[in-house]
Amino acid sequence: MHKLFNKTGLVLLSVALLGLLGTSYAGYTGELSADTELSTGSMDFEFIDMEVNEDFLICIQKGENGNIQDICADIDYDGKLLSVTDMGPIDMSWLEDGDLRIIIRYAIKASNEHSIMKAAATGKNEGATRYIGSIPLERISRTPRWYIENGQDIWGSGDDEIDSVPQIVYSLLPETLGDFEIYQVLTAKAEDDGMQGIIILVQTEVPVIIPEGQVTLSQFYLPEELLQEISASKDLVLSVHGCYGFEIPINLDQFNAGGWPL
Amino acid sequence: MKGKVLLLIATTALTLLILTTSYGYWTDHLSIVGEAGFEFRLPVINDITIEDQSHDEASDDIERSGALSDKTTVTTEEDSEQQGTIPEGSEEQGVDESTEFQ
Repeated sequence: MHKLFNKTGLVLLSVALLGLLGTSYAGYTGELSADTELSTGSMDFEFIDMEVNEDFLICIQKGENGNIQDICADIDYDGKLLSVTDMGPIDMSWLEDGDLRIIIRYAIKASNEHSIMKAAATGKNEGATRYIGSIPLERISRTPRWYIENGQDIWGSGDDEIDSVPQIVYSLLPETLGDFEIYQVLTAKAEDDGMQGIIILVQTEVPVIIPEGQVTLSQFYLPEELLQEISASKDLVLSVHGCYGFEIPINLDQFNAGGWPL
Repeated sequence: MKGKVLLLIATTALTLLILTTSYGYWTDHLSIVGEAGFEFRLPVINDITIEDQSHDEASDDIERSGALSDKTTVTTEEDSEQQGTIPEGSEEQGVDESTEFQ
């Protein structure tokens, strides 16, 4: 009994325990080949620079069958992170019906040929839409842009006479545009060692719509001279541009160990 | 002593293994970060030009409201008189109707 815990005994015990762990894992996941799949590890993907790949697209759509409208954006790549800034602007009236869809089409590339070959071979679920989760579109701290115009003249952001953004502008911008559900479609493209992905943000709730006619010129607390100049005009219209941020994790689990749940 | 050194080395190696694996796992994820601009347009009520006139209008309103208050008193009296007669009639009508139904 004492000899069981010598060096040889401990090594044998360790091997036996590891074997039991592997068996338990395979039994738990219901896949007898789980140990083989785990040994392959995960694949290494990166975003493809837009200068090389022109498949990138950002557009908005009202409802699943509505017309698609392209929107402008600035794109920046940092290996594993794709930053899309200055999207739009999108008119808030698109949110009124609660069926806005924001579509982002991107491309990624595997770091080695083996990975993309495996991705293509594993593609039993490729092309299928996968629900990732729900995220809120929340107002970010970037200073909002605002303008009062009368059809001829424009006053607001950028004017030397105006020091800061009036408080009324902040109070008019909703803190959040509500939750959006995220769906992802991934397709392997073996011909150029890349993959195309589509992220769809689907609006799930209607944000609070600002009632018309509640904004008065005096609420802006503008400098006296500017106020007199603006007040001489008729048919004043305020336009406010706010920024809302989001972060979406790209899930590539279907091409890694374990695969997608079927 | 030798055993303690080996144990220390083994513990350090295990810690480093866990740290590097965790770092690799968390940094291996792709993500998209976005900033979407939304805008809206609203009419602005020019209450600055109205302000001077509104002072006169306000005084007019006060006078009107004073006159209305007198009228209101009269109306109230009339109403009270009517209320004194109408309910009786309505009650009678109601009684009559109910009688008819019965």
